[in-house]
Amino acid sequence: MGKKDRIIQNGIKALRKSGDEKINDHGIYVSLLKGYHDLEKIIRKKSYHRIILREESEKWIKGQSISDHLTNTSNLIIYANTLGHEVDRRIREISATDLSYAVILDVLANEYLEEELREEFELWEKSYGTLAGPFSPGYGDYPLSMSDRIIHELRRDFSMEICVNSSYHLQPKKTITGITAIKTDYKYEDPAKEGKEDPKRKCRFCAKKTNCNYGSS
Amino acid sequence: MKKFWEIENRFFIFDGGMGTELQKRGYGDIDNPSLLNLTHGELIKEIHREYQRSGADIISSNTFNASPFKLKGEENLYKKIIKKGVQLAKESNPYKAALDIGPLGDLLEPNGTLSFEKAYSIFKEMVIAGKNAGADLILFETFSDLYELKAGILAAKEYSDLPIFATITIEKDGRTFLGLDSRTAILSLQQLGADVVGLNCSLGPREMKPWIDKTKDIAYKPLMIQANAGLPNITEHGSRYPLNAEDFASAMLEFHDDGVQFIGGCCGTEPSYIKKLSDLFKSEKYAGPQGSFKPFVSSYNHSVEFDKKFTVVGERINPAGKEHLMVSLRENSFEAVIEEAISQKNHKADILDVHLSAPGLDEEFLLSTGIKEIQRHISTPLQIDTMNARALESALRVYNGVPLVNSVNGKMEWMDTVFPLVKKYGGMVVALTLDKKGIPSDAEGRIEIAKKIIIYAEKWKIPKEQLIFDALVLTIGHDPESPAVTLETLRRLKGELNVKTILGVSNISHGLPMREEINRFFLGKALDRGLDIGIINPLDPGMHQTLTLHRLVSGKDEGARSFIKEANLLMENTLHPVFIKENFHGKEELLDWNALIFQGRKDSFLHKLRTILESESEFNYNELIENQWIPALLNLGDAYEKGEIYLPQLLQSSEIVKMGMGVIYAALKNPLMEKEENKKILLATVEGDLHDIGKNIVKLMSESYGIKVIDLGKDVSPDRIITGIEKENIRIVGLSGLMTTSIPTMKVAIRRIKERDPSVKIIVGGAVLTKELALEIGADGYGKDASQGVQWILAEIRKRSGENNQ
Repeated sequence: MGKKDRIIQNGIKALRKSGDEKINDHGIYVSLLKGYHDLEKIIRKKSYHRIILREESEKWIKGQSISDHLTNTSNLIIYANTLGHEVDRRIREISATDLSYAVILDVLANEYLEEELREEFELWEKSYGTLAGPFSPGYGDYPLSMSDRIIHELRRDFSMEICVNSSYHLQPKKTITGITAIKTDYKYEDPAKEGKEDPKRKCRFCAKKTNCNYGSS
Repeated sequence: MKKFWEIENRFFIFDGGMGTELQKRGYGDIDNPSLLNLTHGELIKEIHREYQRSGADIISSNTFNASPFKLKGEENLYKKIIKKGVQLAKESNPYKAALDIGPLGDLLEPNGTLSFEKAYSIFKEMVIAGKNAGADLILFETFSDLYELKAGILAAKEYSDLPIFATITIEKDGRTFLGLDSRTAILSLQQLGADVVGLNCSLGPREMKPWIDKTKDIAYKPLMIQANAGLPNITEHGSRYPLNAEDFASAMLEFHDDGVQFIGGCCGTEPSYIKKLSDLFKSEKYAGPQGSFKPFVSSYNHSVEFDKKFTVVGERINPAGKEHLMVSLRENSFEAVIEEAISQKNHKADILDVHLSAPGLDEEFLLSTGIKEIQRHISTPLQIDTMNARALESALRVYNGVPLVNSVNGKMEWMDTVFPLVKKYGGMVVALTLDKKGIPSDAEGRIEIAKKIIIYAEKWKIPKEQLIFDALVLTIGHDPESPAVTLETLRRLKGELNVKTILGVSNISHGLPMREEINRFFLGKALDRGLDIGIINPLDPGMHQTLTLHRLVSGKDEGARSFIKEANLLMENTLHPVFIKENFHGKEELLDWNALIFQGRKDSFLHKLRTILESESEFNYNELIENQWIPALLNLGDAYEKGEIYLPQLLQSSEIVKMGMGVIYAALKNPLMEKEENKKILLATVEGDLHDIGKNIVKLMSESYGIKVIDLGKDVSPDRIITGIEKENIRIVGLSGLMTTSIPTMKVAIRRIKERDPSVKIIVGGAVLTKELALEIGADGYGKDASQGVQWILAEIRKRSGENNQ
């Protein structure tokens, strides 16, 4: 499955989670496809990253969640990925005249951003080795304020126009900041075969655990 | 008085990277390098001296990061840092010391939350601090946002007389991160009042070269380049730049004949790079700017150049004769204005005229706010249309880009008002060929006024290329001779004065039948006389066809490409009339309201409604809404709950009903909104949360039920909610929030509302909420989704109506 198909399929899943049971309808697929091409024209994707040496990592590891996540890793990578301001503006414009299409663009932009990050991870893995998964401020007990810290740190190397407002929201909105690290003990294990992955684990801590229609619990 | 670079006809060398030098000396990890001015002054001075000894004429103060937004925890130090920074630069004995100002570190509205005036006031303090410390010039560098640069340049012009240098930073595609293209930036910055303009950072000299090539024809002021030492590679030891001093300098030599007079380095460059530049450029003669003034207008990301093609100005943002616009503006709502703007943009308008004046309206507020609102949604450049000096200045100040000002005329007192404003804020000016005696009845009189305006504008250093002349169109009904006079004036304006021309084409047919046909015919005639810009209704496809046909028959359509493209579209629409008729106005008309709403058939829905409104003189709108539309919406909500339809369908159908309500309001002059105070709610996404899609859906669906919605937007503080409730006498409030962190804020807002008036009912919704949680934080109701939320609101409204009727 190519990038476009992955983004559209993930868009369908996201719309389904927002309450759509009959999402396989051809009409919605066409709208998503149109949305994808519209986004392609306006996205100004930028990716920034910086390597933080392990001995300087203390200031980045705040709380238990990230500490767990970065177990058995060496140097850290902090990053910020964005689709640019034009996506925000386009969604504002469309919201004024066609709210349903605005929802589709919004969902697709989120998926596009995730896909871009996935591709960046592939490139970084080629350069630096196997990485821990992405981890962003707001996950678990990792404070949202760390976005500000990440942007501040990246600005040492880049003149970048990503900002964090007083509520720690990123601008442009379709921006993701995060942290990962190079693994030191990587050994591939098929979770299904080994029976180690507990599919309910992630749901256990979710705020929607009692009223989610799609969780496995 | 001549500027220093005009006296000495040579190249000037700027310094190179400060960060690179700090890193070399072990200060690469300082949170904000500008703080070193206060703590390690000698170190900074030594770096300046090294650059000066290497041949740099101009040393930039170490103040790039001295913004309160970048000095977290030490915000109040920024003026002190700037003062010390400029002093240190001067103490290195350069030819000139530049006050270096970078982006503030917070984004201006609408991309961010920083207001234009707040940005302006910070820049003002920076400029004053730098000027008092003895800076010789002000360098605004590495900007991406034209609006932010405008605030800075304005502050520099108003609080100093120092030369202003302004550079943007672009990516490989020639645009800044905010989408501003380099050509638009160079055009706009010169017009906004920068003395020297150019590019810096992000790219190496080779990557910058194509973009300088594409802008040098419009650069009538000296250009400036401060390139990086190539494109960086990220390593475990930070960024590494590929070009050495020799390669860098030889790549910079490529700019020798491009009108670039100021050269220097940015990231990755060191004193040795500046030494090489100095060796190559110092003894060379500068040949002067390579471009000339070209008339244009711009928005924050693109420009429209009048030399390139015929320009369409959309005329529809004007409340005259448009009841829906008038109603909306009276309530300080810009929804209708935005819809008109988007619609015209989608119908190929290059520029939009914005006229928001009418008796009883506060034009100054409406025009400046309307412009900000339009620019929040679309990037089409605007024409500011007013005869109110205060409204004009407010609008020019907040406009993001370089606008078209409509208009000046031959009256001396009005020229004395408009030209200084245009000089200060930048802009092209529509010049009407009338004066205090009125509109001359012949072409000769109008040409004389045009000549007078050109001479007077020169006194304000506004060249005639900046003026767009309007030969004035009067309705044929008023004077059958007038079209001939207009066309003759147009011909002479082009032939004798060689100026750009504009016409409000639709005026020709005012008060006559077959207006569109007359307008099209007259447009064709005006095009024959060389008309450059037409203020027209872009929604009339006939006008675009006239433009296409004129390009074709006058030999301006190479290979007839535009015509063939347009003709193909036209034929697609006319080849299958039976199919269209049957599917559009045949079978679908038989469908009832429920089916039309359910299936989201907007065109058929509106067609049916308009047919009824036109044919039935005593139309019972209440019956239609209560017995047809609302039951259909209820069915829709049920179907959504059952998973029979999905979210976009729900929204689409709701939107159709909302449009239908709009048509009825316009036709019946808004009876529902005036009468039914009970059907009014306030919605807000709470402070700290920007996720407003859910709230917007509730708004849309509520409006489709005829409920008036006061929408406070997102990130709304409890204080603003309370003010909104008091101002609008609100009885029902809906609060939304997506994030877990929104719940405490929501709780505070509910407590504050209930403390003030316990009878106000509050419903909450959002992904992290449950019914139990909603009750726990004090809400009266909870909506699992938008449909359920609206049903709760409707039930509450009915309950209140019942209470009021008892």
